[in-house]
Amino acid sequence: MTAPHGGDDGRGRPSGDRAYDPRAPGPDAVDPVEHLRRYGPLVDDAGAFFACAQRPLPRVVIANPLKTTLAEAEARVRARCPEAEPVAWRPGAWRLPPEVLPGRWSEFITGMLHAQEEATIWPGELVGAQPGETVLDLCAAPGGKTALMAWGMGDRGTLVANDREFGRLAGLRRTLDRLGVTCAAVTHLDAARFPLADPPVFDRVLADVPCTCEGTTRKQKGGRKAPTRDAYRRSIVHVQKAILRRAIQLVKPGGVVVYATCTYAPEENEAVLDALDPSQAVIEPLTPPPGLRVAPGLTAWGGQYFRPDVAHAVRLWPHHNDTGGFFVARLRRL
Amino acid sequence: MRASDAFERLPDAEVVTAPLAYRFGIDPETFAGHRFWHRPSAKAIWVAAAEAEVPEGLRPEAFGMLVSRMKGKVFKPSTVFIQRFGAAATRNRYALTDAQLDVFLRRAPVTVSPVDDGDGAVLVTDARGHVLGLGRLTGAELLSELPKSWTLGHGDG
Repeated sequence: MTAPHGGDDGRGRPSGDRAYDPRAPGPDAVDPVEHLRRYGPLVDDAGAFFACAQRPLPRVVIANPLKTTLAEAEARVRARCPEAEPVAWRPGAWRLPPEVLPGRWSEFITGMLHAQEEATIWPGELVGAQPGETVLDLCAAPGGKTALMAWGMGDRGTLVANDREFGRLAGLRRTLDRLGVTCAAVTHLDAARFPLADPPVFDRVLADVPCTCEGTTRKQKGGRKAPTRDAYRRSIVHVQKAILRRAIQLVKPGGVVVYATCTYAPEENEAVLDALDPSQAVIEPLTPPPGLRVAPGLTAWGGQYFRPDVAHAVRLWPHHNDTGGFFVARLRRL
Repeated sequence: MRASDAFERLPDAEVVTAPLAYRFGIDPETFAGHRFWHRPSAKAIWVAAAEAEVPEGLRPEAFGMLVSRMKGKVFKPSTVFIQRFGAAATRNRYALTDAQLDVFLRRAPVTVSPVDDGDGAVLVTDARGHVLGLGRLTGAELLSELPKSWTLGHGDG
């Protein structure tokens, strides 16, 4: 999820002000990761974290099991880019140098391959969508994690791919179409007010909520590099809590809800999980695939102590796996 | 925005399957795991996995994949639909060499050998049989009918 709900760009400056370009480094712009400094005490190696957060992100392509086999995809990636390196923890995914543009390859046009940020692959697969199930992606655009869920379903069952931003639905549909997904229905609704059914119909729900995107500093296009205003964060936390509450209401009892953000802020991660009524859902322990290094969720921040099972949530720090930053938790409705 | 109509089952799947069987030899059984849908107020046809159902109370913008907008007199399938189901074609298909592929994706004419029925729609694949979409053959000249926005060199990737 890259674009937050609402019109505030988080920089608190009017768009279209030609005299001031907030992207241009000014004379006082000496610290490109100033907004990440508050997370230094949370990591094992703050220097490595701040340095990594400024390096460009390797591009990652992933094989589409609806259109190719592992062996064929491997051969094509090797032919196109001999420097490609397999992602250690995930078969069928390869890292490319940042300057390689896989969107120009015919394998991209035919939907055999898809470009997907490495840190988001495991969170998308944690939903565990199975063939024949009814699954919901509440904040689906641009559709990378939606596609991972469709692959898990073997393109069989019903996958509702929702997004509130009408302008992002075309991109979501393009992703699903190009990858050959036929089990998805695309809806245009506010995730926090997604219509409830009685009894609930969804086996699994992904709440990959809008956030301040502080984990995206390494993206060459569209990543957040500016500080986040407190007022903006408070408003988006409100949305995050509402979407997670609704996700729990939408899933069947015993069903799975995955909560994810691409930010480091405990206010948007552990504190949102903590705000949930503990009688409604538990946060399950996660076992990362071998080769993927993760850190546990925080049990305290800023003088606040969280419910103990938030430690089962997972933080992906950029310097641990050379990826973007991500946060994910899997909940089971009681 | 205007509320969309509900999707309903397409009464006659042959609208889709007959022209594909006629020109490309695609066995209608290829679609056994899928169902065709439409909205009564619109012409477009959609295809979705057979198990897929729109949950009650939802009015989706899209359901499954667009088969065709059904504009014009002849059945013109969407590129993504042909990519998804075209591998079953047995006739009027053409596999581009890697050198031809680059030309085709730049939307320039490719000189090719004739296909079964001659001029008209040709199902175009890469050298390994992955379906790219349709082309139009006139004599020995094949032109891309892929969406213009997919052209290599178009925009900034």
